Amino acid sequence: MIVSLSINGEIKILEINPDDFLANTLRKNGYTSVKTGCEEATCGSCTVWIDEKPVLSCSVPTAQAEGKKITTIEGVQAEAEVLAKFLVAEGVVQCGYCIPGLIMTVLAMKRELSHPTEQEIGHYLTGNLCRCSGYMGQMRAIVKYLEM
Amino acid sequence: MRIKEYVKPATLEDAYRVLHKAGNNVILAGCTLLRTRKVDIDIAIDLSRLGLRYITVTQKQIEMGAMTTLRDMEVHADLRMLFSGILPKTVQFGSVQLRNMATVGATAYCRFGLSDLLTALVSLEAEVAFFRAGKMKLAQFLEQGMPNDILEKIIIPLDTSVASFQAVRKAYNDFALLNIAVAQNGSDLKIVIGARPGRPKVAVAASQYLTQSNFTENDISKAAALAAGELSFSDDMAGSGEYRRLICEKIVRQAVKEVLR
Repeated sequence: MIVSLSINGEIKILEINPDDFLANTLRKNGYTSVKTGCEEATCGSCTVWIDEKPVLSCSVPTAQAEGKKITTIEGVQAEAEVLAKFLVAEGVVQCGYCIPGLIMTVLAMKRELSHPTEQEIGHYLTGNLCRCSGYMGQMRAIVKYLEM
Repeated sequence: MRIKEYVKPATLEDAYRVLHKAGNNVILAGCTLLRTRKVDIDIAIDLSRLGLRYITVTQKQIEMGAMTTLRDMEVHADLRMLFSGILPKTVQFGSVQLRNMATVGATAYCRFGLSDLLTALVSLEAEVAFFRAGKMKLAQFLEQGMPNDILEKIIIPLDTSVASFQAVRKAYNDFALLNIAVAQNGSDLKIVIGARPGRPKVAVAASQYLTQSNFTENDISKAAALAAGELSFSDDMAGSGEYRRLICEKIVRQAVKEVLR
């Protein structure tokens, strides 16, 4: 089937299978920042925005995203780079696999919550799992980033 | 799991017609569990073009379209104010991303036993409206199901004045080990217990006893004991049925007291 997707402001006409999921479609089309981890809506590595809201693209059928505004980290590159510097400064990034998903969730949180507490940050980011460096460094980096 | 064909009907009539074509045809909602499905789908029916994502509050009731996400509910300003603010508290499981996908319609239609939302909705006398079968009480639907129809919306009457929702869970975003909602509608008090881990049920004898009582400390304790005694509790990986029964009494007392305050 043919779908028209709006990805980072560009319209892409793509041929997909009815059972393709968005994360795979994005990766196949060059948006390789989108990582696939658990592939069952748990780990958060595949987080992208649909209509400005963070979702788990591994579980969104690509056809369902037609007509909606999809944003990957490539679409918010400048903002992402600023946050990434804070993450690196706190030693958060080891393998880095979860980081694009984490950044997409943090940037969504920044738009949604004004002056979140550490508990609110923790709750918002509960769907982004990191198996290398843990969460304390992430929290320090994000708090500093939000205070910037 | 394979999907052979994917359709986005423009009307509920079309969606219903496709659902009843020969084959294993499935309505898609938030798709949060789709990747864990083992059985192939002949036609996947996506309802996203049907305008079923809305929350409308009138003087008499709240209507929530079936495609309303749990996150829509969580952040809705009116829902935070109504029924002592219990509804947003019942949809805080999993992650923000998951709640941006999961819908109230699928939560209800799948009759998830561990759902906090369904327990609260039963206590508030919510109704479900189907495309063909029309309206019925959510509590009745949870008992009997409604195969091969399309859930359009959930309707919550605004008759409940005060409500309390309590749950026991290991982490704030985990499924509950037990959840309890108590709601006051006029002089009637209704106690609903869910995550037993079966579907939520009204503790009928306990509710009747409490409604007719003088709300003394003894009355509340007796109602709590009745509630724990009249429903069944089972084991699962989160806890045993016996443990659930033991904590049930305490949590019912807590919820009733909160409502009476």
